[in-house]
Amino acid sequence: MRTTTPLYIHNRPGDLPHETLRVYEATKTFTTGPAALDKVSFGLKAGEFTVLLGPSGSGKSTLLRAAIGLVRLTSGTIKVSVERGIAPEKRKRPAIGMVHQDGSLSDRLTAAQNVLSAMAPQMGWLRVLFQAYPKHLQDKACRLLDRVGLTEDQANRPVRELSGGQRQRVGIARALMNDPTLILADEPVASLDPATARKVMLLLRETAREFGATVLCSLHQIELACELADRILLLRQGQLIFDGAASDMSPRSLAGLFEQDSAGRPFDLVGG
Amino acid sequence: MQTGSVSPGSGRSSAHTWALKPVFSARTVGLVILVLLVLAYSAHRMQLDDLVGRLAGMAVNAATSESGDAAADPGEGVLERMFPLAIAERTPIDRIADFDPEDLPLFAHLETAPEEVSTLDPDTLQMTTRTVEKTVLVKPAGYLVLVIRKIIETIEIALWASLIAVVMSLPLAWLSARNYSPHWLSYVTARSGVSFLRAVPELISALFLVLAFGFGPIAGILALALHSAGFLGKFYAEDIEAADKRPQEAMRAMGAGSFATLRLAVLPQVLPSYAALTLYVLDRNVRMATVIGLVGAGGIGQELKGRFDMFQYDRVGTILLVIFITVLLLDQLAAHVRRKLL
Ligand SMILES: Nc1ncnc2c1ncn2[C@@H]1O[C@H](COP(=O)(O)OP(=O)(O)O)[C@@H](O)[C@H]1O
Ligand SMILES: [Mg+2]
Repeated sequence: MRTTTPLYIHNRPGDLPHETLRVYEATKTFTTGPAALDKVSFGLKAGEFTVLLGPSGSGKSTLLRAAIGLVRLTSGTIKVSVERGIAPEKRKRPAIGMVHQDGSLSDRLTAAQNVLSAMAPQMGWLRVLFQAYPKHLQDKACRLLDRVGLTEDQANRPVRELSGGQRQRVGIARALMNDPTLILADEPVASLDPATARKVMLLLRETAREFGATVLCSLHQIELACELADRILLLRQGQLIFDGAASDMSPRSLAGLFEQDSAGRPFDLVGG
Repeated sequence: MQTGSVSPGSGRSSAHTWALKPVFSARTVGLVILVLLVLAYSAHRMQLDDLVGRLAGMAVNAATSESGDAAADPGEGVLERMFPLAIAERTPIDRIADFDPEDLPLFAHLETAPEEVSTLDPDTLQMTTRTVEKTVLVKPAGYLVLVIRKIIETIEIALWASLIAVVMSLPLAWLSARNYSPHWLSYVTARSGVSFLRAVPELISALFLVLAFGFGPIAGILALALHSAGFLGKFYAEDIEAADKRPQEAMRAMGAGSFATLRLAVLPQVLPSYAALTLYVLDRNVRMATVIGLVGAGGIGQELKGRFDMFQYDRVGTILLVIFITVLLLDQLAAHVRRKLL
């Protein structure tokens, strides 16, 4: 399941990276069907908040999963720079945080235990077995949960007892737990109502900014993307068809790009 | 992403010409008939038709003749001879070594009872029967206490067997879960091992284990533990395989290995199911522990077999009643624990 496709560049201390993420001609063909990703190339500057837009099945998840090593590319390269955090050479991989769609938390563990689980790869097996994390990590998890807007009581509740919006907040806290330079988010608000979705997206942008993390977030809500993104990447049928500043684009013209070529069928607004 | 074959523009037929699929197809009906035929054939082989005839015969007999020929039917009278149930334990004092009449056990008392003793008269070479007064020590609930001690031993056998089974089956489940087994070879080995354990009935393995370890609880514990480990290993593994993949993927994305993923993303999910399975195994082991006692593997079953072979049906009756009450109580307990856990 774990692959080594993404290449992790460890910068020397003081060496500011030009780009946090560089994707070069990323191509992915599954055993069936056309290419899910077709020579996608782009780079993300440090600190950028980029939204990956595209209809269902356009390859958003595949791209994000390839960047974190859950999918092995057929060809092409993905490079991630690591520039800060705890002794990078001790890490198996750079600090990338990922926010998934709903359902990615262990729903019988408490919110705090879920956030702390981000540190499990760095812990010994006994600590993992008993979920006995060092005190400074517990404190950090509490601060993060507080930051994303949960109460002490909610932090100690199994996440299945939290609302969808609260669960995604926990997901954001979990993604921030290991001081990521890059946060990947795969439709983090797909299961939320528009008002909650906007709040959670705003939170993601704010916290990422505070932590100095670069964000690549897939969405299918055009309006939300135009409101929040520094930059928009538009993916259709595995191809990058638009890459530019959100301010240059009106939601209407973006919607036009969406609907082009889709055989008269309206764009499916439900993300896959 | 095609959705269905009905496209609004083309080939629309009016609703009254639609043909709806019948609920039962000809194939289903044929299959049901086939199954019924096979069952009828099998019922004949199992002499089930004979059973119906015999039951009818018994009913007719019971209705017509009050007193059947008791000697003709060995099963006759067993039920009557179970009552009154044996509660007390009566031991003639001459069979007790170092009997001290001043120091009786708690609640016990002495009774003198006439007993018929047959002796061979050396002169006439005839058997003569005399009645002698014998003193017996009566413990009012002596036998009941013994049976309860035995049933506690049985429950202990079941508890230990279940505990060993759980400990054994956790690594077995890990190795025989397709998505977590470290190697296909370990997967195949563990899977076949688990199937083998499950395939050997407790009663058979108990027979062998009694040969190896002698009469007593060890054979029983091991026999039950091996079988239960096979059962739990299989179902634990299937729970692992069926667990929601999304939390596991999130753990992988954070760079977690198999152990951390199993502990943090799989175990919390499968724990309620594990608890239910384990309770079921415990419940089943209590019942099976009485059965394997029959082959000498300790517990109440061993006592039951002994009394049955000595035709002491009043004691058999007591044992059966105590087993019944125990199973009933454990059932209540298990239901309670299950409610608490799920
Ligand atoms: N594991 C897989 N096996 C086969 N095809 C897949 C797999 N994952 C995704 N695909 C295909 O790749 C394409 C892109 O999927 P995905 O990246 O999930 O799109 P999006 O997230 O934009 O909805 C789709 O056509 C989908 O059917
Ligand atoms: Mg997707």
